[in-house]
Amino acid sequence: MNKSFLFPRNLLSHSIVRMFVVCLMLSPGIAAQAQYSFNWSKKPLKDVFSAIEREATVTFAYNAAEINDKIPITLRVENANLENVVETVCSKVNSRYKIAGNIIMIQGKPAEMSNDNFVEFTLTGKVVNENNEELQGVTILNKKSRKSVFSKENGGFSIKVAEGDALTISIIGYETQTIYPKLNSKILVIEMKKSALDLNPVVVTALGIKRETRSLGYAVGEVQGSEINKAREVNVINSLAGKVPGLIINSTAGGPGGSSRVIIRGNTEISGNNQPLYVVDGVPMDNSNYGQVGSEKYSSGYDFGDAISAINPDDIETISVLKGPSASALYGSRAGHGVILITTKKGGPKKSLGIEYNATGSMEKLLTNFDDYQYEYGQGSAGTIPRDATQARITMFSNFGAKLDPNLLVPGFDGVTRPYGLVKNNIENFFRTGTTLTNNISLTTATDNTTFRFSVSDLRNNDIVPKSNLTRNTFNLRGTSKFGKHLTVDVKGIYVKETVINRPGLADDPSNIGNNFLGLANNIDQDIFEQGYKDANGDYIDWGGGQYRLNPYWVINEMKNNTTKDRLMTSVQANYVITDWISLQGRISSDITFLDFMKFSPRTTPGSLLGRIEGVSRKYNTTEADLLLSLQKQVTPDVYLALRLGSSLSHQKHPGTVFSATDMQLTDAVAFNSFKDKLIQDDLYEKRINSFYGLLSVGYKNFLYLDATLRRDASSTLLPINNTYVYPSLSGSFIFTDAFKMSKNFLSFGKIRVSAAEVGSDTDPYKLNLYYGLNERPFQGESVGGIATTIKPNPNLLPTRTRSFEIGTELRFLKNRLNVDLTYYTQKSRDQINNVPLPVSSGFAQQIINAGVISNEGFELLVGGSPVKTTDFTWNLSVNFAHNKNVVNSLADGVPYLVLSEARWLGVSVVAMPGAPYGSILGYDFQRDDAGNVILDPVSLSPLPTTDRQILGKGTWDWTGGIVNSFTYKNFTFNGTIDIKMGADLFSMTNMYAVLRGSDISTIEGRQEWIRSEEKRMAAGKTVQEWDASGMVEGYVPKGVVQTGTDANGKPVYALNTKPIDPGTYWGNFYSDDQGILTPFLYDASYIKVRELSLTYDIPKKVLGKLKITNASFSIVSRNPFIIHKNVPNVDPDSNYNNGNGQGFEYGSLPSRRSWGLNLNVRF
Amino acid sequence: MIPVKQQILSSCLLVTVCLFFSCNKFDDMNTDPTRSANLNPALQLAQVQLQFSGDLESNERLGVLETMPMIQHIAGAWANQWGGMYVKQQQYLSLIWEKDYPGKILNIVDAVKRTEGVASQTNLNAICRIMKVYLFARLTDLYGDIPYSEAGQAYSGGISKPKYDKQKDIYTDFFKELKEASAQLDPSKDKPTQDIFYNGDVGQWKKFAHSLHLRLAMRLVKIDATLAQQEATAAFNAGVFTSNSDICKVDHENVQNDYADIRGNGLSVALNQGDIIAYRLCNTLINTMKTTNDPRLEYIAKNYIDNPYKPFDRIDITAQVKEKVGVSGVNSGNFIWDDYKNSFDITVPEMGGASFTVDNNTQKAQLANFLIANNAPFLHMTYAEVEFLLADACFRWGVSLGGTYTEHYKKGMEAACTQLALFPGGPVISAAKIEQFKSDNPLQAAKELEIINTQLWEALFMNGPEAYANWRRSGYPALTPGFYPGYSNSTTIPRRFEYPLSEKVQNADNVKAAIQDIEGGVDDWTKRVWWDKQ
Repeated sequence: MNKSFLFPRNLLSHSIVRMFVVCLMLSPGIAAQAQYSFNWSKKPLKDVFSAIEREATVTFAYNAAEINDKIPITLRVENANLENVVETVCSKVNSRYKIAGNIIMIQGKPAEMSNDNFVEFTLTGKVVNENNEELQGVTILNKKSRKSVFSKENGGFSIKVAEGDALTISIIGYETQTIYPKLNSKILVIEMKKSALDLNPVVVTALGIKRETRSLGYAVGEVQGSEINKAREVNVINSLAGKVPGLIINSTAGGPGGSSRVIIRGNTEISGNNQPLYVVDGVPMDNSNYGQVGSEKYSSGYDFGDAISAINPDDIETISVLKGPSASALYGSRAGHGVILITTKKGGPKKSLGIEYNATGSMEKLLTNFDDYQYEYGQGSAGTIPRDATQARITMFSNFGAKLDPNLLVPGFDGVTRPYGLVKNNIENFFRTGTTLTNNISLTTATDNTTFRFSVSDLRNNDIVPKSNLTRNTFNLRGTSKFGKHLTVDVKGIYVKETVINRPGLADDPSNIGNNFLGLANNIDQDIFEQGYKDANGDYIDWGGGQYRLNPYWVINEMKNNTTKDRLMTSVQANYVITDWISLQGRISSDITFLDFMKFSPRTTPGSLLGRIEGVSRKYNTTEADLLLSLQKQVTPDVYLALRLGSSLSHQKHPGTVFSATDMQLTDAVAFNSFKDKLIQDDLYEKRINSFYGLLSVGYKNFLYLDATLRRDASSTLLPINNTYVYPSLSGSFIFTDAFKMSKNFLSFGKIRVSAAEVGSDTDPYKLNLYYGLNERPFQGESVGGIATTIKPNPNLLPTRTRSFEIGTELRFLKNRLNVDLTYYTQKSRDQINNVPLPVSSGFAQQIINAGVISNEGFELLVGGSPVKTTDFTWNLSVNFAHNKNVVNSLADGVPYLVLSEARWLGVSVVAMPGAPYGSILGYDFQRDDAGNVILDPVSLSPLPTTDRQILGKGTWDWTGGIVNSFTYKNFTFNGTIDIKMGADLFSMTNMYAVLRGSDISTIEGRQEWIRSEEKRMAAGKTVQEWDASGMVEGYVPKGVVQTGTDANGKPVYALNTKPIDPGTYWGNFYSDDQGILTPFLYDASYIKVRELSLTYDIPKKVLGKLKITNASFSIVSRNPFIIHKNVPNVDPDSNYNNGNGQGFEYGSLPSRRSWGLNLNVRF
Repeated sequence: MIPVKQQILSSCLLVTVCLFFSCNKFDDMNTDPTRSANLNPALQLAQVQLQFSGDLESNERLGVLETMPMIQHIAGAWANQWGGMYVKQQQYLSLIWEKDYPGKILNIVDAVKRTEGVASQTNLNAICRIMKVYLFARLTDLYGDIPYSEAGQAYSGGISKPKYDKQKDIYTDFFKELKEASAQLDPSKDKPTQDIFYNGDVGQWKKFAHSLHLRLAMRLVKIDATLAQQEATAAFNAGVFTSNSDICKVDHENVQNDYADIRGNGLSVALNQGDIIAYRLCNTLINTMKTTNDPRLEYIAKNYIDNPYKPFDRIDITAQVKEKVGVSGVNSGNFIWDDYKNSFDITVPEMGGASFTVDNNTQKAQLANFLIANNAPFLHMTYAEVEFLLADACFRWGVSLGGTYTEHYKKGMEAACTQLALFPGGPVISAAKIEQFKSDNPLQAAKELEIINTQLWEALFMNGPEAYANWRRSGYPALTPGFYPGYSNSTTIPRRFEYPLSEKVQNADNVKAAIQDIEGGVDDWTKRVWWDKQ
């Protein structure tokens, strides 16, 4: 065959092509078709092997101590295939052979084999697991004959044995068994038991490659699907809280439909997205931010949830957490913050129909309540009750009134007179008991060449907020088919439909119910607003909350918001095995989400008096395509080599339209059509990354492994001269217990791993040029417009780089009863692409530049084991701990700090400041004298804030951990997960309001005195000023000192304050839109929470057998049953209103939820 | 064995695809197709003009929360403590700076630059220059030395940290710019489109440029009387407003703006939004009007029965209240609940003769609906102001600028009364009443400047920043500080706005240099701008 004509000549010159050609030329492999002829006469065996090696391109491996390779061989073969040749040679030297790839292993036959007295027979059998499912690929090794076979798809096998032989049955993930076949037991069913601690666990790594963890040079955390589908979360990622060291998951105040912040090893970008990349079955998943409450001062709105919430836990086989860029160097820029790999379930191996049904029903109640409120004083100001309806309206949210007295009648905001008595559990009564019901059914089947799995899931959640609910349906179809010997095609489709009715408004949103009730006078039953929120015409009745605090009953009954997400994830993957050591894989996937959001405010809604409809319609389209060529070869018995070359394309396109309309004309039709004043705007986000990468893996003798990767990305978001970046990684794993053949009695396994990597990343599109745009609305029919870029563009942006290093060890002791996994890592990111502030007088408040270095350093520890293990009772315990230090090393010249988020009140910001921890909270402290006393304003007696802002806390955790306990007693299993987070701070604006409005218990001091003082003043007929001058005022004596003058050096002199004032005025003065004292409202956010409890009863097999049920279990489950420890009163410390980088603020959070429920799992 | 051919084919395919994917050319994918790289500068001018009075946030903070209570036009609401009781809220003092520079200033600087030397846009360029002066004048009058010559040029000029120009130099440039721009205006050339102030009428723009010139010249009476007189005279001679039809105003659409919409009058919305209107007229204004028998008082001071969120459906009970307790607002330095008035009952014909209890809050007079209507015009500069300024100038320097100071004063009074008719639903005050008003209030000897500028202070009602500037430069009317023990951070009325925190952090060196030039070297709101000489 003339090979050259197959090559286009112009391509031949390309080095890559040349490389491939070389590889291909060298690799005819061991093919049965090839015919060989030899004629040896008294050739030493050594030379015979060499001759075969030359002709057939194979390698012989043998132990020279066992086989005398100088034995002369005389042999003639004509047109024999390789195996025949080898067999004949071996028979001459009383040896056995095994062909593995192009390695031919030669072993001397043991002495006893030669005088074997036992009858040889064929043993047939079947291997199943504990669930009676057939297991494929189990190795059945005859220890005597050294022959081995694998079980087939139906679990069946047959092997030649003789009585007295020992067979070992082994497969990864199960305990290895040894059986001694007897002549009369020709058909055998072998049940494999899951190994409690896997000796050589396999994990899915980058590009979907399954590898033994022992060979990895970096840390991987793994969670099985079965661990998360009983005690369920509406958003599956929350189930991982506390389970993987260093995986930090914070849910937001957004409720069941909201998103979560997931951080691995700290923040590596100062102002970019720090969340990990999700990869489902090897394909990066779109993880666009669907919209959430922003980080600016007046942020409000909704949390639209995240992409991961679309994944149905029942479809998950495993979740692997690849930490650090070295683990993810192959996924490129987006994986700079770690990768969460999700492997979904496939069909098979069982040929008959497999049915699994899983159902969970749970009820949700409030987890937190207002535990620090005062219940002595009611509505009013300055210690008095409201005198008329206007005053009642003004003081509706002020608890600085008179002492509560149910016999006293006071006018209400609506003019109705009601008793001035305490209403208990007032706000709590607004909420209802939530319910969540999940049903999932999955069907699996298989034929010889094809497997199928189909699952349908239905989730219905009714939130604790009345009229608020979520439904989600997931359909998942996966089929794998083998076409002939070489081609395997895996096709997958997931369709998710999610509808959320009445997502809660968050933070400063006028519809935020958590905010709107804050400080409601404790004598006013919230229930009255239910009856009286609208008048006979259906118009809003003002309740005193103004346009920034809407009546919650109006919000839930009259306003509406709907979000629908339709998501279709499809992928096709084809694997073509060219030879047994070369394969080519091609994949293409598409992930499309249609997001539609609509919010409606009827006419008379304050702030939207004419009615308003607003919404977003957006498509999130991600297309991923890649090709991967894999070359894997056991080059010598000791050396394994794998080279993978791939290229990929990632294209994201998010076209959207944003619409709003006001002035509703047709009030009975809630539609865009019904409005007079309409507005529609379109926008687009589009970018592409083209990549090329290579991965070289070397394994030596099963104890030393090295990986090297190189990736080149080209991004559409940077100028062509800057848009290509190449980055490498290197990692190694050394199993010293095997290398040094150490005794395994105490230390059964020991490994050291090291890796170093660099990852580059790009930015968002359209950051390089200045744009103009029209104002959204014309004025008197004419367009107006202006510069539409708010961040000064920069055409010279360069990619950001992150370098990381990690070293770790894995140790297993006492036959795996105890295992320890410890990792230390450092990361440094430079050339950060940041929006850096400019003085606004320059025309832009920010510019985008490359500047800044941020670093992370930390360690992760996982200790696990089985403290108790008896036949009936097992206690498994896993404790994890992670510490991370996230420091901002530098920023652009002249930039003192970058604001990550701004609080609505008190001028507080979360910042990145050089030399300080990332996410430091900057705010005003009390001004203090040299003795540390709080300095009060000499006139108002309110504490003075410091002139400059100081770092008073930080929003990132010092350390996080988890304790996972599992107890099994006979058929009962109890699981419990504790989540521990320590060292972050939280500015609670909820608690600030509780103080400003006199709800908080801390505001009670001096009230009685003030009321007495006012009674005396009125009796005396004095004005406030006159009474003040008389010195007879009683009340709250602000704690601190006041300046009384200056000393000779001009230094201020202070004296302890003794003057009393109205406590309402004092506490009210802590209110500030800008320069206010943060200190009293900044809390240690540390907590210890019980995340999960479950008690499962596995129904015994003997009961099930009659019902044709393979497996069934029943569980009592709970998520977030209680908080063991927290320091923030009234709210859950996990109440951040967005999942951005500037964590540390809480504002008007709804109570978090605890759930209790039942789970049923049945498999046929 | 797989045929070699197939292996080679697949490898070729792979390589080809790899090369294709690894390409780093993306055509114009990184160009936002939904926005433009160019825009007619006339649209930028229009946006700047409209934002000035249409932007709710800046009009609320600067007008309603700070300057209007500071100048004792309004009072009473909780939110009036910032300006009315001098409770320092840095955020509100910074807001106009934070909004203007990256918005209006950025665009007007860009529009001036892009129209410079463009033959078809000489008039547009001149108008943009005038607009630029007008914008910067409000800022410098509030803060003092500010970034001017280098402002707004981070992108166009690569200036990241603009220096602070001395107010003196800024004023010098203002006069130069106004003169040049006015000279550049040529009715025979292009007629600018989309101009919201004068619909491209070049003649009107000339008058506005000169009137603005007059206003700015009169700012300097304390610091440099000679220059003030010279510039004021030049401005007058060039031709200023001569009637209410020259007034520079924006007629807003009848839309209740949200924070993004700018079509309605932002100042009106700042006053009329919310459940029930908490803002009251300040007694300083009411009492001044009462003592001068001002015919405007009965139209602008009203008592209403509240109708939450429907300010224009409130029932007017002014007459009934007046009959019982007369006209009163809220004292400067008081909250509405201070000086608590006991309730009384009235009968309301609009409610079918039902009885209504007039509580404390209802007795205190509010701004009339026409003043706070969404489509109320925003008066940038009025003819009345020009006349009062001329009266001041003529008296001050003993000159005649097209008339005596008395004539100008009377014309000013008349224009100030008749300009209310420009408001939809505003009163048409009869000539007889105006005559009576004029004859009741002759200029008294030694009190000329006080009376003239007090009238100007009234005419500048609904224009807080300008009233504040004129009060500082003229010293009239004499206002008693609204000091409130326990709340106030200053015992006197502030004389300027402090620089924003962001500027101190991001433009530290330049702002430090500017602060050095403030008296005492401290950035404090009790210190004065350059022209506000002690």
